[in-house]
Amino acid sequence: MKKTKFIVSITLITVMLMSIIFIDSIDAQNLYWGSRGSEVSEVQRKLKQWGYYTGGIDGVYGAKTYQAIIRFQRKNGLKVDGIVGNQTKRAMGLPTTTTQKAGVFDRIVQIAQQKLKQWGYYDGAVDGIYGSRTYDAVTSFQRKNGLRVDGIIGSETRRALGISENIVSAAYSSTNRGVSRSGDVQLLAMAVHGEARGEPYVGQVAVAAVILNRVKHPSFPNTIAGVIYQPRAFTAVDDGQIYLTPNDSAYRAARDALNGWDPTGGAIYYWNPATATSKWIWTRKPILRIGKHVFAK
Amino acid sequence: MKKRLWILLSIALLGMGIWGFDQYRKNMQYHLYLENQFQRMFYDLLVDIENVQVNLAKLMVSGTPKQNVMTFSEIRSLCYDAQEKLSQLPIDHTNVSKTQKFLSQVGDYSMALSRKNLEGKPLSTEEMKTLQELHRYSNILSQQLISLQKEMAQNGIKIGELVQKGNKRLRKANQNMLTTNFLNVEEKMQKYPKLIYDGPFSEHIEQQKTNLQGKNITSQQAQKIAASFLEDQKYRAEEIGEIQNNRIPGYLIALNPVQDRERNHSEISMAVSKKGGKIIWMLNNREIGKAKISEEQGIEIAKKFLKKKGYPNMLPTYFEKNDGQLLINFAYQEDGIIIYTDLIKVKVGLDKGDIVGFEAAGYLHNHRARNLDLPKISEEEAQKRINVFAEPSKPRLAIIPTEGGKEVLCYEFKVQFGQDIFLVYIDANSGEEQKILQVLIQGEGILVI
Repeated sequence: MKKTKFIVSITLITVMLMSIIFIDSIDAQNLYWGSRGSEVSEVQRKLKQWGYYTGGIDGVYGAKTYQAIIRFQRKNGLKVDGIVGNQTKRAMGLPTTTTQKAGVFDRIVQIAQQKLKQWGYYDGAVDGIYGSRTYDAVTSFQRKNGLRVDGIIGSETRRALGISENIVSAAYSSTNRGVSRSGDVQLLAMAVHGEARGEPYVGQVAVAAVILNRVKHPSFPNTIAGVIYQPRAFTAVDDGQIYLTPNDSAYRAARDALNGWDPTGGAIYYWNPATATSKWIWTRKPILRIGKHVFAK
Repeated sequence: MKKRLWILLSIALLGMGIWGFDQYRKNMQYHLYLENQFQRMFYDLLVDIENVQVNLAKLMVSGTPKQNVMTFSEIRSLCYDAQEKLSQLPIDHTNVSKTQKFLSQVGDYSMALSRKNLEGKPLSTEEMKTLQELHRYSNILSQQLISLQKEMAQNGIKIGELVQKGNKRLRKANQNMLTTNFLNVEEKMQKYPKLIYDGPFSEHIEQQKTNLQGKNITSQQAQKIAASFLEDQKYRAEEIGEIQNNRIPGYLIALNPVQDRERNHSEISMAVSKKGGKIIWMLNNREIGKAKISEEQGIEIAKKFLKKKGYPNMLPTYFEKNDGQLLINFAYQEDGIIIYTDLIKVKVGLDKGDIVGFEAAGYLHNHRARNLDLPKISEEEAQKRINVFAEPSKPRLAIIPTEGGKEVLCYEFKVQFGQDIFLVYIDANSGEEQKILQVLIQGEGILVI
């Protein structure tokens, strides 16, 4: 009994393997949920034969097919993604993507050569001709990246190289909408208004410039918010005056400072000589005085 | 009658007691909340610095550039994080400025060395020695923090309490424990080696000599130069201060139109360099009315102005519009090469078409006669370095500054990806991808990040 079962399965396998050899007209493409066509039927037939699939062979990639493929991939140690790519096809014994033949000019080869050159695998000419050096580069790339080492720039290798057809995906949205400097301007204007309202305009620009000089200085935090909110750095922050609504002048001063106007020529401290209590502050080298503030390095 | 008063009083007292207790409870809650934040900062800081030390030690035994780069990037992010945490603790800046600087520089130095490793250059003996020194200092730093942590745990002291003055319990222990510990570190940090490398926090940046040449001028001469800078009307200039102890010393000058004598509230201020008598910057704070001229006209006005002021070879590189003012960046151009370091910014009021802002510190500091060499690699070769799916335009040659203030000759490509535009800079001698900037076109103008 056992023996017959064994023989039956062996013959099945042989028949199947032989049938594969004759099926060479399959268009090699990745199959996903929702794919239709003869290729899907082929996969379903395969999976049914091997006991992974129980549904009908209808050529439609649906839930049952998906589950069957997942199970098949898991059993065979493949990447479990439900996508019938070259790896899965190879494991099923189905033919894979049509491949390049040596010596034929190809745009794909050219792109691959450029990529391989940028990443240090290839040092020949980027000419789109698949020669022996390109072969060496492709195989060493495949070896490094854990791909099947066959020298073929198939879809797996292409994906690993990052040169699949549509690299700009629909999900890539324009950065324009996601970036603005208004946050910086707002915060800086708040600090200027809290610290230097009533000062001459240049004095306001100077206060903003000191904050920006601190951002660039190694002894201070590296962001505008970090510098402004550093404990005990600015009185307006400690007593809450920073939360007053800034006026136009503060905004303009903030913008001028962000655009590079620095009346202090590199100051990182300022104080009001009438109210400053720290003795230490007088050890700094004063650069200039504007309004009530002394600016220093 | 008396009884009623007593009852009323006791009710009031009770009410006040309840209110007071509620206030006290809330106060304690806020204190606790703040204390929790401080404790977290402190422990994060400690762990970060311990890990910086471990990673610096790992560099001594790592053999491949790849491992080095990984370790360096870890050190960098740890340093950055530690610095962030340190700057959020309630300690006076003066007591931690050296420690902060140390952390910035170690992070920055790691970045520079990792770049060097990526270019295939191994670490030199000096660099290895410097790293060992830095390891020693990070060791000192973490030892101090560990002992501070132990002291605090033993005495049950909270960080929030350390900043409150006059706390009786603290007076007994050590009022300024936190500060003292950090001052100890600061003292030891005085001697750590000067780091000179290609990075923004390198020691040499501060000491860079300016390229501005010329004779020293007097205040009177400066006022004369200032008064004739703007030509839309006659101005009288007045010195209101001196600028010293910085890169370009100068005179601070206020301008007032000659016609209105009584006005003493000046809208125009500027700085004139002592050396050479050049205008360093000028700002006009007048109210700007409705825009009457176009951006193109504004750029034309700015160009003409620069030519007249002795800056003929300036190329507008980008502009931005705000509050009716047009800001234009100009870069110096020589033999078809754009030199971005020699930068002048001009603001034009779009209502009257006059100059309302001028800034030439970059130009004055950097400009000099350069020996412009021919690029070693060709345009085509440079183009091959660009990502295959980005569509580059025809490149132009440009000199851009590195983070450490060096100048590199590059091919500048405008590259499109999806809807986004980038500027990609390929080193014209080594072919390395030097820098990528993203160009954002928004309502106000063009932003380059």
